[in-house]
Formats: sequence, structure tokens, C-alpha cells
Amino acid sequence: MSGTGLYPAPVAPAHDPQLLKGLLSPLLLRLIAEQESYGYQLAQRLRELGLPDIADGTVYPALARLEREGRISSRLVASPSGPARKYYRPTSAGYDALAAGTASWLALAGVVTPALGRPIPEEPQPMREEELP
Amino acid sequence: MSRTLTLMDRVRIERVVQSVDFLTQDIPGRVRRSIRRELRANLWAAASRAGASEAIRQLGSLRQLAEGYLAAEYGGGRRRPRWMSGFLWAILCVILISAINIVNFVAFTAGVQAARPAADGAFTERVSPWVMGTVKVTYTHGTLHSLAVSLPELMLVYCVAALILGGRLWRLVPGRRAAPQG
Repeated sequence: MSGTGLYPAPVAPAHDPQLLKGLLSPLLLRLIAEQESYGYQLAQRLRELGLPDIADGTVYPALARLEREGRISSRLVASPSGPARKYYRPTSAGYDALAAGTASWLALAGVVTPALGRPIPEEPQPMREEELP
Repeated sequence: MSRTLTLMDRVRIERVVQSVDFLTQDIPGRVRRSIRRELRANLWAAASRAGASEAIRQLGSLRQLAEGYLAAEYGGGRRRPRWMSGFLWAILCVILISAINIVNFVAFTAGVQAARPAADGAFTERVSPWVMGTVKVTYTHGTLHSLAVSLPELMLVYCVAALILGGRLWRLVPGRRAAPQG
């Protein structure tokens, strides 16, 4: 048991897909900004980053959306085994979106992390007397 | 370590690619070709690394993947009609009604011959105006001399309805907006 009393310590928490959905675009932009990559490679890099449950089928449409929005551009590169792969890199709009997304996430995390990081009390404090009707 | 894909692996990958292509048929052909090409290349890369079964498993639900592509293409915007589906449903409608009428014709002539082995003259039948046309056969001394089968007048209506419903042709109407995609 953890120090939070009634609540067991989480075991290898699964990532909430809805929570991840909003963060996937900046994450992908960040990875592409670090290294020009193709779809499956990006899915692999996300898994190595600590998102083992992420489906490739979540990543590919997100890349399609980013490309449609003009945030990434692509080029086909011949593969030694199999069909040519589509490699992505950020556009200037993509770099802008990455900077905005990163700032937004860091600001939100700065508020949420300290609040959720506090130990959970076993009982809520009783209502104060002056709040009684 | 890179694996060599077997013929069966390639067939399985192609089946997935074609399934996603079918599920994304609302998307214009040029974009769909690009999606097919990229998906195929990614599945090949994944299968070379982890095997075809694992590559397909890692892809997740094909329906969700297709919905993701549709949302990426249209967002909450208007989708295109599905012409291919519409024509397939219309053809299916023709085949079904024709089959019903052929069975009806065979049953009717068999009935006439059973009831009157030496039948002479014209015999006409119309069971249901909704799905069956008129069968008219002429016998001369028990031998089938001529036959005429007309398809139901409503057949055209059914086929047009199948085309509209199967092809989602209401999407052609300006001003209609699809529900926003998640």
C-alpha cells in the first residue's frame, strides 16, 4: 500500500486515450522536429518514449491531419525492403504550432501537477463552522 | 532484425489496406491512393520488424483508423456521396428482383404443365405488383410456344432508392452538414 491510505498505488498506469489525443499533435511535431521520420517509425518512437499502448492506427491519421493543416510536409523515400516510405518534417507553421502547444502544455502542467501531486487525504476535512447555515 | 515477408504476409497486409480503403471511400481518390501507399509502406516496415500478425495488431481497430482518416480529411465538414456503394446496391436490387421473377416464372410454367399436360392457349399470371411482373405463356398442345416476362413497374423506383440510400446521395444537397467527427 502506498502512503495515501485507502488508495492502492497505481500499477503501470495506462494512458487515457482522450487525454493523449490532445497531446498527440505536439508530441508528433516534437519528434519530427528532432528527426525526419515516417509513420511507423514515429509510432515506435512514441512507444519507446513511454507510451507502449499507443496504436499505429492513432498515429497515422494524426499525421494526415497535420499534413492537411500544413504543419508538416512529406517526401517519399525509396525503402530497401518494400514500398517507398513517406518521411515527414515540420513546416514553419508546424514549428509555430509546436512552440504554442509546448507553452500551453507546460503552463497547464505547472498548475495541474502540483495540485494532483499532493498526497490524497484519507478523509475530507469537515466543513468549517462558519460555513454552516 | 529485418524479416522477409512471405506471400501470405503480403496478402494479409493487402487485405488490411483494401479494408481501410473501403471504409474510407468517402475520401477523394487521390487522397485515398496516398493513404493506401503510406499504410502499405508502414505495414511492410512493421511486419519486417515484428511480423505481419504483430504489425496488424499494432494498427488497432481498422474502423477507428478509417474514422481517423475521415476526421482528418473532413473534420465536421460535408462528406462526398459513395457512388460505388450506391451502384453496387442498385445492381444488387436488380439481381434480387430478377431472381424472384425467374423463380416465379419457373414455378408458374411448372404449375401450368402439371395442371394441364395438354395445355392450349395463353396463360397469364401476376402474383404481386410490388416485386413481381407479369408472366404470360402460350402453349400449343402442351408445348410451350411463347413466353413473355415483364419486370415490375416499381423496379426502377427500387433501384433509384437503393442508389440514393446506398450512395448517400443526400450529401449532394448543398447546405447539409455532417455531424462533427471526434
